[in-house]
Amino acid sequence: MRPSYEQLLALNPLLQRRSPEEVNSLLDTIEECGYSWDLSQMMFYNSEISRGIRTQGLDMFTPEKFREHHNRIYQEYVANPEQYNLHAHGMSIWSRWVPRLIILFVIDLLGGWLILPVKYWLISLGIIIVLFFFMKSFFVDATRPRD
Amino acid sequence: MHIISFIVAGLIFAYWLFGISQPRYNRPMIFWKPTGIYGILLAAAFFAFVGYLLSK
Repeated sequence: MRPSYEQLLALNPLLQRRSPEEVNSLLDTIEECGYSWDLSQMMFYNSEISRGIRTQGLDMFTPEKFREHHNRIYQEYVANPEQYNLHAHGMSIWSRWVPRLIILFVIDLLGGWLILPVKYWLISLGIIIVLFFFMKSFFVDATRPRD
Repeated sequence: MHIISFIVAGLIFAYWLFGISQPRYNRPMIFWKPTGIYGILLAAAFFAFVGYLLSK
């Protein structure tokens, strides 16, 4: 089941720049490319290539641009499915851990200086940042399919 | 005062971390251009520098 125009507008107000017909045409293309609406995650998801498209950037796509984008991703998948699946798995771990790391960073940022000397507070923030980039390079960059 | 500057810098930086952690097409629009990405980073660096100066 696809989301209504109003539902999409609530998720991404920038879609107002496009008429309901244009949005419907884009949704037709998205569905033709194998994506279906995932109500629990509020995004389009293609289970064959384990790829989700959120509504945030949807206003930037025309049906043609979306098809081009999908074809590029699909070619990456066809060229090396194992590497692609490894990358998709890495991305899913990354997307689960990123909010936790950022929340930890913000909690430390707002409260750390109350219990730690400033020097150690800044060091603890630095450690979280290093952990962030280490995880990004390990789960995202290192698993990315190469051309 | 320097703590407030560090916190502002940290919050801007946390937003930057959030932005770059998203897949390209899911990023907030400000992250779609290098000027946005580097602009946010520069803003965070500016507040961190002010915090450093105030702490001396």
